[in-house]
Amino acid sequence: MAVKIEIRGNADLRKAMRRFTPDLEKALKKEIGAALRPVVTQARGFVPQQSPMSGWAGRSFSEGQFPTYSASTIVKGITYKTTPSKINENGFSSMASIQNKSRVGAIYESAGRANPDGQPWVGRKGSASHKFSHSNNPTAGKTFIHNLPPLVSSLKGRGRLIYRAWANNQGKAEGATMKAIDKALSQFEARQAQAPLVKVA
Amino acid sequence: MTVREEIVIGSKADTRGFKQAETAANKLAKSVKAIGASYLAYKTVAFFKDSAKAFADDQLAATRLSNAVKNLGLEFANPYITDYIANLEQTSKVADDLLRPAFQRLLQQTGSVAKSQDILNTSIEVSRGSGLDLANVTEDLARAYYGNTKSLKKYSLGLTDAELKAKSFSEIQDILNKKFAGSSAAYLNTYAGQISTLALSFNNLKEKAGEAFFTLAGGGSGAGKGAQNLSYLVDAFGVGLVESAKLLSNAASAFGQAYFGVAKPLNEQLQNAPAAKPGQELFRKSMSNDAWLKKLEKQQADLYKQQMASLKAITAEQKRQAALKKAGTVFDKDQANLIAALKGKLSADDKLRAEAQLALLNENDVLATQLTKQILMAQDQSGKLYQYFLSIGDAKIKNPFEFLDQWLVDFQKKLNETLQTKPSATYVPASMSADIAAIGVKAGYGAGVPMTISGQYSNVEYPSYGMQTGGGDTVINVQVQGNIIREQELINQVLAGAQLSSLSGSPSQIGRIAGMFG
Repeated sequence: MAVKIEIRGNADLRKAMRRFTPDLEKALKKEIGAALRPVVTQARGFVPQQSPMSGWAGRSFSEGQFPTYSASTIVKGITYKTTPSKINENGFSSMASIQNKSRVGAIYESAGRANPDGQPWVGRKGSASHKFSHSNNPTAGKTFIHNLPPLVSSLKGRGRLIYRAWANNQGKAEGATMKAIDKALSQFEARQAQAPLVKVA
Repeated sequence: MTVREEIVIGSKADTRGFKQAETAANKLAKSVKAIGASYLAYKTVAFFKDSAKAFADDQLAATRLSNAVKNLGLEFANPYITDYIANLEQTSKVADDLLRPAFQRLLQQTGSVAKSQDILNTSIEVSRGSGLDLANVTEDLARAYYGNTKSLKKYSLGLTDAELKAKSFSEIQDILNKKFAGSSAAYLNTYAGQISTLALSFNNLKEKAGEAFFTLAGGGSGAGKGAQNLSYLVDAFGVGLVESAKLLSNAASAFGQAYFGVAKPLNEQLQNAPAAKPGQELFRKSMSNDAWLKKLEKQQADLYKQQMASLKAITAEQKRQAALKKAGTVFDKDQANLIAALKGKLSADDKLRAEAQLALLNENDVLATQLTKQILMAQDQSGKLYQYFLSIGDAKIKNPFEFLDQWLVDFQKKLNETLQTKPSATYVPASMSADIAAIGVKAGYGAGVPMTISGQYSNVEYPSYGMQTGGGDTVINVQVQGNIIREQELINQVLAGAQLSSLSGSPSQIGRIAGMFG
């Protein structure tokens, strides 16, 4: 039965491909993976095995809320995704992405991005806002940031792991990914033009 | 797991989201009409709250200025100042909230309405031209009026610190007027200026609305009662907006009629504000006391000029005297001698003494006291001499002959006693010594023998006694060398002699002899 397909975004496209041209979907996923895997591998390689500072290392019976350093946790959290994302508040979605999903990984990735010398310090008795440092040590934030490697700038943002790897990749992964997406889309449209697409069981 | 950090690839707009939003908006639009009334009521209430506050603040500022004017003794000028502020607000488009404090500051500093107007006009131009707020500029000019020109540096007048200090306030004001002339007019032509004009109009509207609101809330008892009633209404603003809105909407329509008159549009009302006169003549000419006020201000200005001239003259004279005195010290022989002595080889004590003398000649009491102390301490390091020096007393010199008064009194007393003592009828001389009697000396005068004729040996045999023997009357011849004087004359002579013998220094002695101290 012929079906009229309306493609409104990435999700619709991938859904349509999965239903009507699963081979194209499979090929697309394979090509996206091949383009993004080296970036992810390199990003994982930037994770230090030991904690950059002794105070951040994990200790037993600790009841602290701040996540302690764990190289394995960080490595596990650095992945890539070949499926489309949800629509964000601006109405956009992505076809693929590289992610740093863990809390400690995000801390290591982005510490010092907004406040290079740490948040403004108010201490225990100051404002309760999360925009300020409430540590007993006024220089806690600055010391923490200065113990980490410097942030690396890329076209997608600044960071120490995935953004550093993306900067080192110099756009090759993005080029390959976009090429694969365009190729899949064009093939899909070509098939649609040749004959009405039929839903695959 | 929540994604913390992500690099997205192949982003694309998804119209599914937009269509959903459109649907949501359509749904919202249907409910907007339902909430519109409440929303409008809320905004109306907020407007009247602001208006009431704006009116109250305006009244407070006006009262402050009025009190300041009254305290300066210029209470008669209050209505003129009110008109002046209102007109200035219209011409310069500066809110009266800013004009009043600035004018009050200048009035307190200068004490003159005319001068304050002049300086305020300059302040407005400088504020518009430099971008600084009117209060700061006014403060700077008020300080400069009495010579503190430090804060004028930021206006880049092209003058050094010394030049700023040397120039009078009038000269500085002229420079400021030239530099920032036309700034206010230029500002009003800019976008920012037009926005501020609109804001000013809206603020004035709020103040008027507040005034009307207070009056309406007072129900004929005036704005004071209205304020009291309003306090209960303000509490109700947080609850029952619709009910409050109904009440306020009635008040708003009444206000509209009261403010706009007979349903005239808002912009037309604002454009019909009274035109102001340029420059200094910002008072309305309809005021009949305008000439009288100007006369009073002229008198005040003349008095002020006289005071300043007198002060300058006094200061100049003092400077001249000080200069003359200083120049005169060059020809002071005593000083010259002391300076020469100080330059020479002197001991430490002598040097101190010379310096102390020099300080005394220069009437430098502080230095003289200090050096005197050093001299006394050098002589007696225990400090007792210095303490005695301090206890001597004030500088009044005592009469050095004061002790003679008591001596003379005692002497006269003794002399009186002496003269009053009567000699005995017979003279009983002392007895003769036994050794003398053994050698055959006969007793005569002073030998215990009464001094009578019969008791004496014959002067024939013993002629040395000088006393005639024989009967009959005894004639005693006494030969006196000198003058015979009376008792008082004797006393006076003795007193004079005693004084003369105690006096020292020939001038005073001559003076006493010649009667110069009579």
